[in-house]
Order: sequence, then C-alpha cells, then structure tokens
Amino acid sequence: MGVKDTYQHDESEITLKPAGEVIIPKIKKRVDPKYLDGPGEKEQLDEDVREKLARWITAPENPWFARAIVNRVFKHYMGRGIVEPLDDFRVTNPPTDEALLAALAKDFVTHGYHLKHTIRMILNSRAYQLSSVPNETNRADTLNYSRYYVRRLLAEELIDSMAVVTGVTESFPGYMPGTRAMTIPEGAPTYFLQTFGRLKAREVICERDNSSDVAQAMHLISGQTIQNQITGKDGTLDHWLADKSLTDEEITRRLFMATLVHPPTDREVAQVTAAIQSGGGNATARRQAFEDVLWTIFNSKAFIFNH
Amino acid sequence: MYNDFDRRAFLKVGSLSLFGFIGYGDVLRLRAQSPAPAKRDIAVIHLLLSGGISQMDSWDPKPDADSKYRSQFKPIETNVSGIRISEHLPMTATQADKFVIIRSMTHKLVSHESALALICSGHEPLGTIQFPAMQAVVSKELGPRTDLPPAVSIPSVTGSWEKSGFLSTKYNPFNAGNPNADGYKVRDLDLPMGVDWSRMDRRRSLLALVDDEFRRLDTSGISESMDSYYQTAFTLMHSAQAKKAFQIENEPENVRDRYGRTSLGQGVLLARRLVESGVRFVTVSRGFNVYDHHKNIFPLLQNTFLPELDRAYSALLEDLHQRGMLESTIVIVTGEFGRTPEINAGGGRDHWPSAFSLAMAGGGITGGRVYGSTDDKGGFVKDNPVQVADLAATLYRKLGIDPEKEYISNIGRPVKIGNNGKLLEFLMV
Repeated sequence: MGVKDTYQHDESEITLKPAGEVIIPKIKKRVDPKYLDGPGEKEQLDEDVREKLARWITAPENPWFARAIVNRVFKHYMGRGIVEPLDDFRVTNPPTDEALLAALAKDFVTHGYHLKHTIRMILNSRAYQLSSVPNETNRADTLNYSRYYVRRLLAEELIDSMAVVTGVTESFPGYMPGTRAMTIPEGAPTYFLQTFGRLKAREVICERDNSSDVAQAMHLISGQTIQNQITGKDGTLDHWLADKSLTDEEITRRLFMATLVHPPTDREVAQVTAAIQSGGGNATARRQAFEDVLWTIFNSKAFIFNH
Repeated sequence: MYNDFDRRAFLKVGSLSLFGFIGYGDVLRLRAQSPAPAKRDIAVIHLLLSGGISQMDSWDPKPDADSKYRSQFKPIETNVSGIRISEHLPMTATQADKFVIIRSMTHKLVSHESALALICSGHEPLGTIQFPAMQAVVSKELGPRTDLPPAVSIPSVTGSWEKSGFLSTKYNPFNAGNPNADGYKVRDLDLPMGVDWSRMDRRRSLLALVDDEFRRLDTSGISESMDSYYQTAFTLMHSAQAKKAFQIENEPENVRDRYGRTSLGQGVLLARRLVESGVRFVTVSRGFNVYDHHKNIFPLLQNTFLPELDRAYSALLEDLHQRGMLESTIVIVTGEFGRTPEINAGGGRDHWPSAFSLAMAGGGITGGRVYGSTDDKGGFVKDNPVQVADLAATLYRKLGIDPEKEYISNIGRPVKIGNNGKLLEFLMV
C-alpha cells in the first residue's frame, strides 16, 4: 500500500502499489510478503495482494477471525463484548463465556460469514430481548447479560434517528443531501458526528469512544444541529400541523410513539397544551410548543440510550 | 514539609509591600509562620508541548558538544547567574528567578501515546488499565470551585491521555476551543437564535418529566452521569462568571499582543483568565504532536516554536506575578519526552525519553534553580534523576491531594494515584 498526502487537510490518498514487498531501510534488503503461519507466496503481478490476505484471514482454518468479528457484533448489540476489551484476545484475558463465543464463531463460519445471519440470531435471542429494568437478582450483573445493558446510541444512529423522525434533511459535507450518516464510509464530516465519537479518517477503530460528555450535552441543548432538525420546514411536524384533523393531543402522542415508543402521560400532554395556550394558541405558539417537544425528546435519556 | 502559605496572606503582604512597609525577607518569615495551607487554592497550568521538545535546544544547552550533536543555537545568560538557556528564549531568560528547570527527567517510553499517558497520569500505561489523567483526579478529588468546570483543555484534549481513564467520564476536561480564532466563542455556550431562557426552562421542565421514567431502568449510573453533564452545561450556559472568563476579547490589546497572537499565546492567556475564575487544572497545547521535529528542527524551533513559547510562557509568569497569582498557580512546561542528542540525516532529532527537561514555576516553589543534570551531550541523566511518578506524587501533595490514595481500577486492582512516586523535596520549598 502507498500513502500520498493530498492538498486537503487531514486527508491522504491510499493507493495500491504494484508489489507487496517491503524494503528494510537499514540493510536495504527486500522482503517478500509472507503469511504469519506459513511460507511466502510468489505474487502474480495481476493480482491484488489484499485479496490473498483476505482469503487467508477468512479461511475456515483461521480460528481467530470469526471469534473477533462475532465478538464485535455481539458487543455492538449487547453493550459488552464476550471478550472485553474487544482487541485483547490474549490468554490472560479470557472470554466471559467461552462456549457462547465458540458457538457464535462456528455458526458464523458455517453460515458463510454472513454478518446479517449473526445479527439476526443475536436480535432474536432471549438475551437481547430481555428487559433492561433490573430486578433484585440481576441488579449487580454487568457480565452475564442477565438483563439488557443500557447503551448510548452511536453518533450515526442518533442523527439518523432524528432525521427520520423530523423528516428534515440532514446534510454532510461531501455527500448528497439526505445521505444517512450510517452509510458514510469513513471520517466525521460534521461537528455532531465528531463530538459524539465518530472517528476522523485514518484513526484506529478501537480508539472510538462512545461515552458521553459535557460538549455533547451542550450541543444537544443549544447546538445548531438540533436547532435545524426541530425548526426545519416541510418536515413531519409541518405536515401534521397543517392537518386539521389532528388535535394537539394526537400530535403529541404521535411524536412520543415515533420516538420513545410509548404514549405521553397525562401530565406531559397537559404541559404541552398549556404551553400552546400560554403562547396565545396561534400557529406560532403551536409550532414552538411542538419544537419544544422535539427538543425534549432528543435530549431525553430514553431517546439517547438504547434500553 | 508542606509550607506553602495562604494566598490571602500573600495578597495582604503584597499590598503592604506596595507601601514599602515590608520586604521579601519579611514575606519569607511570614511564610514560615503561616497557618495550615489553603490546599484547595492551588491551580495548575500545564503547557503540554506534545511531540516532545528538544532539551538541548531549549532548557539544557550543550554548546561544547561535538557538531554531530550540537545545537545551532547559542546559550544565553538569564537573570539568575549560572543558569543558561537557549538564545531563542530571551524573554523567558528574564523570568528565570521564577522557575525551576529540572534537567533530569527520565523514563523509558518512546512512543508519543504511551509517553503522553505517563506524563499526564504519572503511570506507565498498561493494556488493561486506563489510568486517569491528573486533571481528572483533580476534578474528582477537589471538584469545581465555581461555575466553571475544574479541568479545562485548550483548545481541546490532545488524546485519551488527558481524559478520565477508568474514572467516570464526568471528570474529563472541558474543551474550550481555540481562543486565537476570530470571534472566539465557546461552542454552544449561548442559546440558539429565537430561544430565550424562559422557553429553555419550559423545555427543561418537560424533560424532567420524560427523564423521570428512564431513571427507573438505570443501574449503570448513566442517568447520574448524564445528569451531571446537563447540570454542568446549564450551569456554564447560565453563568455570567463563566461567560466573562471565556471573553478573551476583553483583555487589552497590549496584553493580548504580549502573550502573542498564536494559538499557544492566546491559549495561555485564556488559561490565566480561567484560573482567575476558579478553574483548577488547565492544559494548554498547540494540538497533538506539533513538537515532533524529526526534520529541520533548527528552522522550525527558531522561526516558530521557540519564539511563540518564549512569548507566551514569559508573559504568563510576568502576569501571574503581577496579579499576585503566582504563589497559587503552578505552571509546568514539558512535552512527553526529549529528543536524541544526535542530529539525524534530515536535520532533525528523534524520540528520546532517557533525559528531558521540564520547567516548573509558582505554587510556592522557589525559582532560579536548576535541578539535576545530563552528560555532555544531553542524552543521559548524570545526577538526581526524576521519574514522572515522583513529579505526579509531589504535584498531588502540593494540591492537597493524598498521593497514597487508592482507586479501584477497571480490573478491580487497587491503584495508588501517586503511583508510589517519591516526594521531591526541592519542589516543596
């Protein structure tokens, strides 16, 4: 592989070199590519060496690849890897449940390395579908998945979810308007994505930090991203407000159902309708009151956390 | 052992001395008699020279070394006889009576990330334990002093080594942004257009209703830490004091120029304003790895890096001194390691942890001293080696934090925050 710096800040062009050999600078000796566990292979000039490497990595005889991948997928959905930290597979850091990890890995290999298959299995599992509400016997458990572990949505999940709810297009520089953040291959083109933990181009994936902090709170409270999402025109909110058949209670209910998947309580509805009345009950007051509902939902823990 | 004296006592003394009633000897006598130290009053400003600045070309000149090693810069005299530093730190040289140069810092870590983790935490990093940075420990142990967060990084943390490690992320430093930018503002500190506080308060009361439900589900402490972020955010946004502290544009032009119109210069000036407003630990960097001069080290240092550091650092010491804040503010200047004595083929110097220099001023430390020394090339410590853990333990002691205190780490192993570092007696006087 070759790396060429480009004129753009923070960006480089990665190119494929015609040959895979390396020169050891000190002794100027040429070294041909070689597998970790086997003989070197004479490369053909017409073949991309990465394809050979990929075949070696994903060969069913390689015991490590499947375990590492299923562990990552498992962590993504379950909040904790069977091996944790994700990239520490040394013998001194054993999995919390070897049988589970082995079974997932074997299943992944026998099903042709289909991530969707593994994901479907995890999502259909009893463990994934357990309630996150702790009871007396599992309150202290943080290892054995005896309840669902609450986790913060990823940067991409958060902004995509907001855009789906509001129907307001979110734009990412360098991408078509309306692109889902989840489909951006690499880099963090907006402050929102960056501050919620998406990595810049060429940062290492295990450096990704999905924890929360004050900057995130401030951006959710008063940042331009949320402001655009809730005040954007011609979105879901405008359509509902224009629909004469929808009462204020019904719009409130719909917003809650679309985001928190439960209806608002009477107190919550009362507060929303009171805000509309105290604002004069006109169109502006209505819109502002519902913008406030959207702000509240997007700042609520029930929205920000998968639970 | 612990003889820093009360800041208020100093201010009183300072104002008396204005009228000529009292001299420096009296100050020292008063210091000896002063009561228990006001532990919580000492703040830290760390100028983090990420990348590792060359010791031979800054604090530890070796003019007699062979040309393979010798700096292109000449040493100059400072205002303390016998102490000589690089000719490109002329303003700093006039402040040498205020700082101690430790020329015998030493460790074994040659990668930036590991060495930064060590410098910021006092612990060599391990694969399994993420040690909290000193600023996070300070946040946890001492908490906020005012509306402002206890720890701030300017412009922002250079990496995970400035963060809370295995402690709650609520102890992460707050990122202030780059105060040298035109129209500098802390991001998202002001309410968006068209939203006033009465509307924001309505939103918050609805949010309290909605969040109430979630609290029931949560045993992981997420609610508690999220609440603390929102609390901190709203406190900051509401606070006139915080807003004022970040308004660097209120500084007179001549002061801003004196610190230098560079991100480091304005960062250091903002650090002073923040400490004045109650922040306990400010890290000022110029971004990650900018002092990593593997090539063309001499022009880089001479044209950019030393002059801006010289300006910013000397301005800070002068300013803190004039405001009577130096006794209650420790200023540390260091990178994560030094650089090779031998100049490489590209005209640069490479990573070198065996010996490097650190300058420390304020917080009751008597300046005008050099501690430790290196061999004739500047590559190895000749006497009085100082480990980073010693420095961390001593710093904690000066801040009134017990370095022997144990935290339970993420793997359940107890960890002493001062990492068994030795107390450096020379920094206690």
